[in-house]
Amino acid sequence: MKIVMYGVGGPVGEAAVAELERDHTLRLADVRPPGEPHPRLQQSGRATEEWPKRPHRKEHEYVQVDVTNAEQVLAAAEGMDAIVNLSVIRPDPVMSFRVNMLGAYNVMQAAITHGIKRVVHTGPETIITGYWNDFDISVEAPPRPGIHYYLLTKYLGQEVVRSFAEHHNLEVVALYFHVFQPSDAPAAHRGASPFLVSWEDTGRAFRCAVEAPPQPNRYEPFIIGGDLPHGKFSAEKAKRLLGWEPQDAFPQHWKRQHPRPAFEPDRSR
Amino acid sequence: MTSAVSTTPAPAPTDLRVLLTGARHELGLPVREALEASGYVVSSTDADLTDPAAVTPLVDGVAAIVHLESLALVAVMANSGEVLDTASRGTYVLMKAALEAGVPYVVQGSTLTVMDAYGTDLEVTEQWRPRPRPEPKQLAPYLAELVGREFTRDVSLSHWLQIVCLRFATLDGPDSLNPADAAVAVVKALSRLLQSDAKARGHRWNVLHIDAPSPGARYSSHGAARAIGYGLTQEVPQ
Repeated sequence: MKIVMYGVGGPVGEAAVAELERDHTLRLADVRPPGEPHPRLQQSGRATEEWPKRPHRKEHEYVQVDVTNAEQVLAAAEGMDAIVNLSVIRPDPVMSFRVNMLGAYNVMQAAITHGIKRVVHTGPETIITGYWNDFDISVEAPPRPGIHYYLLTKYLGQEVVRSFAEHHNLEVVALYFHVFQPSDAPAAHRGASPFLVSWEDTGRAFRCAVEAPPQPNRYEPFIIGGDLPHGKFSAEKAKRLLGWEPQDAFPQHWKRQHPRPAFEPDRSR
Repeated sequence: MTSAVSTTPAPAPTDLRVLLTGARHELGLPVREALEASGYVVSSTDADLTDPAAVTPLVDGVAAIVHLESLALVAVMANSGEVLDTASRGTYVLMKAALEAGVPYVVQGSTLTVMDAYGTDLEVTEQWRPRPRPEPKQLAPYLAELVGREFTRDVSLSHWLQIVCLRFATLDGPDSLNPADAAVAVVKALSRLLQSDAKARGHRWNVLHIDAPSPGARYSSHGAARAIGYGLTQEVPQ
């Protein structure tokens, strides 16, 4: 399958490419020119250790695309069988709206123009803010993003994508994430998120999303979180409908230690 | 087009200032006139609401906002995806400025076209999920609705806006909504918001459908009749 991946220059893109490049032809698209490292990698040496690994690294076609530019987005999707949209801007009062919402619109316009039915959309789990003190939270809970630029604009983008999916009979699989770690995550961390997934499981979720049969709904969202024991966020739907089986559950974070270590600030969220 | 409803809203306390955005919209003038006839002092603007520096002075000292800018934008930018940005970001900037300035009440204008995907044989009310088509003229007001709603309920805030979102039916064609009726609905919604000050319980985000007050209208306005007395010849006791 030929897949264009927008906003591929971040760590989630790296994790997705690591899995998809084994069996698919990828066209990588990002706003940064090829070879320019991600800002986080430039800022922190620790980020390199936490970045996903690419065991089967291959070279791919690369196109420089600003997702707020409809013409660039359209051109990059030509000849493709599927789209993966990973583009995102976090809290910026202007660009969060343009990248996360207008960018989603441009990507979906490209999908219908080129007759591409399978689109994998990505985002944060926008239910988090409004439900943080709840349990048994499924992806079907109505989004409560609040007014935080990042969560709100990604939610608006989701609604844009859902509108296209429902009115144009597309096959959109939306993967919602929160916190990532390498599968060989370091030492136990008391404050680790109850919505955590490994880079490797993240990559496998993209394979499932691209290759899965048509879903019950035109816009089908999934929580992509590891099998964690908290009873808080459930990825059961992704297992049932996508056949995704997370391998990494980070037990070191959840086992009680004797004696209990001193309090440490939460670095994972 | 059906004739305007005969009722007029109760007079407002004198000299309450109201900011009217998107004044260039077809509803701008009738809304302004209806507000002024009810005793409000109206500040009309067509300012670009995506500019926070321009919006902050606009909300200074007003008691409430009537926000028609999203509708005004789609009237001229209906085919451009850019309107998704200007409408939703402009709404965000406006609501944030209102929150920070302590302006608690907003009447937000939207469109009933977000319900047009449902069959015409169905009695679609405010309790039905909007199904906007992926066209900017439907998506932009819908996204602006979603922005406004979060300002009424974000758990991280210490205070919230109270918004009545009026989804107006089309103003063109047979059995369409008369702009004068729409303007009366705005004034009635505003009046109800201002009355709610002492009993601000329940949902702070409420949607009302405003179509022509006639049996042949595409959409029922019964919700608005119940909530704000829209289309009724006498006020409904609350």
